[in-house]
Amino acid sequence: MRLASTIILMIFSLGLIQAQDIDTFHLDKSHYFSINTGFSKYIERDDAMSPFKFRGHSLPIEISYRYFGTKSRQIFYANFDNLRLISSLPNYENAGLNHFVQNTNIQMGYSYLRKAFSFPKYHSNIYFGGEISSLLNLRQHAYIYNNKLLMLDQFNSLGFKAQLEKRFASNKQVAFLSLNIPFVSYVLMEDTYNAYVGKKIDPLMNYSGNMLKYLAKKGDFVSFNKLVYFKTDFSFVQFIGSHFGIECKYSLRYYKFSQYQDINYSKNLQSQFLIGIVGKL
Amino acid sequence: MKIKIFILFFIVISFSGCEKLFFENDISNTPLNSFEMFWKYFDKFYPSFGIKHINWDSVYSINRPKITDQISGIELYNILSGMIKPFNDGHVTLVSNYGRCNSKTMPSEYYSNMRIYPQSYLSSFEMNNSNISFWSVKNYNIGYISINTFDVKSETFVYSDDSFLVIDEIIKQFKNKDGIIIDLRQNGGGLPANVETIVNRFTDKKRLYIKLRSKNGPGKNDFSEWIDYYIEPKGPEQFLKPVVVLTSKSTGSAAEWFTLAMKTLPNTSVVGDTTAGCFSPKVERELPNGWSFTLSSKIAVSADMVQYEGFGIPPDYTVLNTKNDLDNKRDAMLEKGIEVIETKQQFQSPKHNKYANLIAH
Repeated sequence: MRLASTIILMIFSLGLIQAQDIDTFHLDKSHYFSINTGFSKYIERDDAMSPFKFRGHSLPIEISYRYFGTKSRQIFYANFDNLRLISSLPNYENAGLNHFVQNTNIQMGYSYLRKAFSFPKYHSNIYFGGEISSLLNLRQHAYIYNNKLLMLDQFNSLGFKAQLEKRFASNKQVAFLSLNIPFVSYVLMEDTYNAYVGKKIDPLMNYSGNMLKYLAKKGDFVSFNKLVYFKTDFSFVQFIGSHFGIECKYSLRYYKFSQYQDINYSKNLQSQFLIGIVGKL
Repeated sequence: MKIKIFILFFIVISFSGCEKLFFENDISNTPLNSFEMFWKYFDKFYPSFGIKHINWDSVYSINRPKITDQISGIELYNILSGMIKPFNDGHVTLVSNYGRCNSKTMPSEYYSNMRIYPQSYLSSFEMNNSNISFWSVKNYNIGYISINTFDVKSETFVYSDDSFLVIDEIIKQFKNKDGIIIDLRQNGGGLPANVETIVNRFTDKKRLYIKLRSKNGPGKNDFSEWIDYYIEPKGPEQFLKPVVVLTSKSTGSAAEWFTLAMKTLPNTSVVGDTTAGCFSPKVERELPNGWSFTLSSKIAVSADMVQYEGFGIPPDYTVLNTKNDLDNKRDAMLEKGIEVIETKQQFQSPKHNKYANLIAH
């Protein structure tokens, strides 16, 4: 994270120097397309699988589309990550003890925001709205002799979203700070959590065929009582020309999903530092 | 000024790491912590202490004083192994860098879990590595099916194996046989989905065959409701003539589900030895020192609520292969299976049925 901070600070500084010489740049009614990659850090703990934390780093990919209306903002994004998480447990590979989790993360979201407050003096606007998002966190937990057991969290959420948008000395630089808090989610795997602690038999026992199809049939609506979930993004875009810019982004996502009260839960913290290119139409 | 606020905000977020805010520290790697975690997991989730007559609190009292942070790895391994040995449960194991301890072990010189000279009994017998294979019994109109495992291919996310659908082809080939012998003597289990794929080709109607309940809380009597499992006719045709299932002490887990399911059928007999008695699915867990262990997590009963967990399914005809059988190239269990089918076939022959009808009238 220190490296990430250093890089983004350098870009901020570069932006400040250039900003003095650039003509006014209009952001209203425009389309932004961006593709980013960078560094992702995961920490995860799933009590149904293991009482230990698993961590990992990876190279995520994110694509996004942003529409800038006069009074509204629309944002679509998709983020993909695949990595191996390891724990602090000693590994004894000769004995078949190699502790890891193969993790796949796919997250998509669409948000619609309306301008709520404007601060012309500070070149800033605040937008409020909602986001529909879908998150898949797929985990294959390796046990003895790499016997892998599948577990997943899949949330389809409707949430509140707020975004602060700030333009700097010239409109060639713009920064975004957003917070999304889902308040209702349709969650797969309700009552089918692996493990002996579930109300029902673990999913391996009462289905045949493709497990993902099986799991997709089971789900329930949950709110803050079972799912604590937020995602915050901080993004800075520096335009180099009229249609091209560079984006630096820091994203932090956390959720805690309690399948059964006081018995098991999964926790996941994802922080990403992304850098990429932005095209503007 | 404003941009400095943004920079400051970013620095705070980036450097905080947030881990300590959202996650507790892992349990540290000490012998005492490993012992405590091992004991507590069994205490919380193992469902069969009562069935096994094990006083787990007493096990703690005896062994806890032996644990210090100076204890060696091998000493800890011996203590933990000693704690689970009395379970005699095929799904209870401890795996460490000092070795593997299986709670259930085979008796020494046990010959009932092997096919003895199958080429003497089966036509064109060839060893192969498939999960399910089949031959005809020499000199008899009897089919023979060997199922070595109900496990699955290692395909991600797919937990039933289409290779078991070969049973439809086998049923087609065996439909004119007088009976079928299904050999599970070496079958240590797998997934119930594959069990049902096979048994569904032998039943004429939907039948309840096993009920399971899970340990679902920390209390000694925290159990879920019973969950019912059924077999039902599937596939292009079913084989409804006499069937013999050969079992041994190595017939465990899903293979016992299979045996239990077949026992619900009126035309099936079980020949051989009592099964392993470990019906429950197993759960795997890690210890702070990197070792892993498995434990049973559920209790199973038959459709008529008979408890076989911990005891195994007794055969209808108890026959064991002995060292003498091995020396004489004789498979006594298979011979008994042939005899049972031949006897049933005679009783079901048209001639016998004629007499049966006369008696009934």
